[in-house]
Amino acid sequence: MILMIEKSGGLLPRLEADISRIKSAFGNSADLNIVRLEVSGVRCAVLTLEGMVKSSSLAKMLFEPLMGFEKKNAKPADVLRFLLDESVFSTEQTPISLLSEAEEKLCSGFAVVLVHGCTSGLAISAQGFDKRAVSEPDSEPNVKGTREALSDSLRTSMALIRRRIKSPRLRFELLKAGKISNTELCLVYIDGKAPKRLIARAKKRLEKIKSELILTSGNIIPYLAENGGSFFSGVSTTERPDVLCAKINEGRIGVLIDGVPFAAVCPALFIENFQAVDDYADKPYYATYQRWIRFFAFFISSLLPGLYVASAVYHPEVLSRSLLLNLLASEERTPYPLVAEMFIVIVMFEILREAGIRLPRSIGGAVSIVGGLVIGDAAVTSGLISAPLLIIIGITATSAFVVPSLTPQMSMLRIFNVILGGLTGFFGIALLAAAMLVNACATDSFAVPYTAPLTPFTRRAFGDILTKFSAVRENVGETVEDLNGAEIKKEAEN
Amino acid sequence: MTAEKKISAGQLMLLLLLARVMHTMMFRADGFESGLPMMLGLLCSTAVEAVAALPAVIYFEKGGADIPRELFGKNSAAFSLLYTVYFTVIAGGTVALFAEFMQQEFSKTVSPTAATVLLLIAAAYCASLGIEGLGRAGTAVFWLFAIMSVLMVTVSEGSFDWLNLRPLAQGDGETFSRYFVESLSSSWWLPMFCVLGANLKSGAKKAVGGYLVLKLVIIETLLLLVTLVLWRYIDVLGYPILALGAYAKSDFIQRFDAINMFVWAINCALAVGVYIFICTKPFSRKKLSCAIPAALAGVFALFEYKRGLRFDEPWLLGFKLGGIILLGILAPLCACIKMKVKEYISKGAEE
Repeated sequence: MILMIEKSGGLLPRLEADISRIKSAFGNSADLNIVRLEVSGVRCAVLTLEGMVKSSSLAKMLFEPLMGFEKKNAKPADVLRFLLDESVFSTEQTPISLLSEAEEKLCSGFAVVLVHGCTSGLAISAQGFDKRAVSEPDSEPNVKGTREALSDSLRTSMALIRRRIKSPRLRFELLKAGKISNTELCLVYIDGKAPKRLIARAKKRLEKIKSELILTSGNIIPYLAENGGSFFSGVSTTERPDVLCAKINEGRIGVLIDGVPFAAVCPALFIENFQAVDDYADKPYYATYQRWIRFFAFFISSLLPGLYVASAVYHPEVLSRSLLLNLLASEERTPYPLVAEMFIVIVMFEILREAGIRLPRSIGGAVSIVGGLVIGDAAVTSGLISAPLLIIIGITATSAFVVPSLTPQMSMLRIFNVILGGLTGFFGIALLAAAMLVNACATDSFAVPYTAPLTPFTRRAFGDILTKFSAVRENVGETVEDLNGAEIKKEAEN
Repeated sequence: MTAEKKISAGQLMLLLLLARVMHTMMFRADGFESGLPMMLGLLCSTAVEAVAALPAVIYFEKGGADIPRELFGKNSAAFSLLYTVYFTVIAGGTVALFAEFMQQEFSKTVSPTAATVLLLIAAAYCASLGIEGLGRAGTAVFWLFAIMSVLMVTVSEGSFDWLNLRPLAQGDGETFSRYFVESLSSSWWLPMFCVLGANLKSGAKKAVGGYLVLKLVIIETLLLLVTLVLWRYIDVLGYPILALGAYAKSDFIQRFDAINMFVWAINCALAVGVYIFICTKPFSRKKLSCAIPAALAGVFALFEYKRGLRFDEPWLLGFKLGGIILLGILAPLCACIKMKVKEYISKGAEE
């Protein structure tokens, strides 16, 4: 009988045997704490993982009541009954009967209580690991919106969303992913807004995750996004709970990951990269103006260096005469061809940007000063690069910071445009533009066109895209499936 | 990525339009004659096209899906290959025209061979992404043209000279008939529609009607503008693409030639991409099958360019017209008749 239980992975009635099985499963890991105690003469053990539970809470919620239990000639079954039926130790306590359940609960920050002579135990939620406090959204700062960002802790992030959508229609569905990490994922959506087909499809894709560890949102995005060859991503990320709430209110779904302060949101649209939380707090005319600035910044950042090189080398007739003369005078002093010069400066800029991100903030600022001012000034003074080129790069770099969510795409487009512009003028840039345009247009995210509502055009959504004159309309409950070209609804009907 | 999904009537209309306008703007006439006979020629050819499109429109409106399959069932591959061959030549011809344009006007920028190769790589890539991507991109390119046209008109220093609009004279009959035939032979939108109609969600009538009206309005307007503003000056400028921006000038942008080339190069990649997509229809392995017609089109384009063949050579005109009649008119007509007969038979069987 015991052999059968052991084979099936069940808990044995022998405490020491179970403890040694768990120890061996964890490979005698140093963080496995085992407290042996006697409760009314019955041998018990409380197993925890170091740092995953809060000791003070455990002492108060578990050890105190356990030590207080007294019964003459108590049998193991009495202690177990006390544990399972007669006491409330925590809001979340689960009976366990399998070894694998015990292991899983331990890894999730539960305390596992085993009783000698019983083939079941109890897992008590006593999580108390250290976590970062709710901080400001560093990667998506704003002026008038919330100062709270999603947390590394999944439960905290869920609470941040629930605080903003106090409706029973808000749904959280927990899933597990990562063969080794067993990371908790949480699907967030509003029932009745997110199409059922979308939810089912997202779940199916998340279940297909083959990674061993889920450490960043990048581990799950390739599984969520269906366009492997797309230059743009049909899944966006945000660290702002207010943005996530706004998106799920438009019928999208969010995926929270335990240990990651970013949520993946799908389906994503190209146009959303140009929207900011402050647009909804500012006057419509100013918000519209700012949006156009962002569009403009995207094109400047991607195209300007390439167009500058192509114009100066192959198409000088495009430039006005005085500007052309100025350029000629500046470029005459420099030793390298314009393309090489631009290429070097762009690579230098990328190195400085990368250094600024990776270094501690205090040093990062110094790098910017040394790179931007000292090296730039010295390079121009010594005649290595021309002043107009430095101005172009300055404008490009500043523009790149305006649309941070498209930084990877803008960086790659910039460098390719410089190479093609330098080799084949406007012709090469045009071909790259055509390829990128068709690539973006061919991208679908969960049957919603990435380029909607621009193409396919949806008039109703236009007010909130190029302008921001639809302060009232945004609250009428339209969702992504109402966009022209979105096939989710049709698929669901089929 | 999207592959074999559907496009809307509006998207198909704009794809047909961009391909047609591309050809008109790339065509370098030997000499620009009076505008009126050409405008009249275009009007008459459009009327003929409207009638010629009826079989295809009826076929798709009645729920037809694939013309070669309708005609030959499972053995449709051979007939589908005719479309592949036809559009490989059309793609090659378009690329050759653009390569020649680049050589004539922007010789320092890129060699004709490089232009051909780069253009076909871009077009094959676009085609491999599927018709949905091409359709949506077509809308964006159309708006790009609209913005550029408005920009150029705004900064144009040219003015209308109504004296250029010479009334019709007796000798204009030849110009009229030549332009009428040339315009008809450029109507490969008919076989295009026969293939792409299979990818249409609905509204075949809307797509064709919209295309014909828009084509007529746009090309007639362009002809009128060229006649009133430039007239014989177009002989100096050569290409209608450049003629459009000839008088546009601003303090910021001195000349619009390169900008025009930029926008038309995007359109060329898109239009050739659609041709290549059509070529790949009979094949299942899309990515690979895009490369083969692109390579063949490249060989044809280079051959055409190097041998100095013109796209309006009599044999090429014949080839284009023959293809239009066989693949764009007769094939859908037969498909319609077969569909009707099938309906009649099944009705009879039910009764």
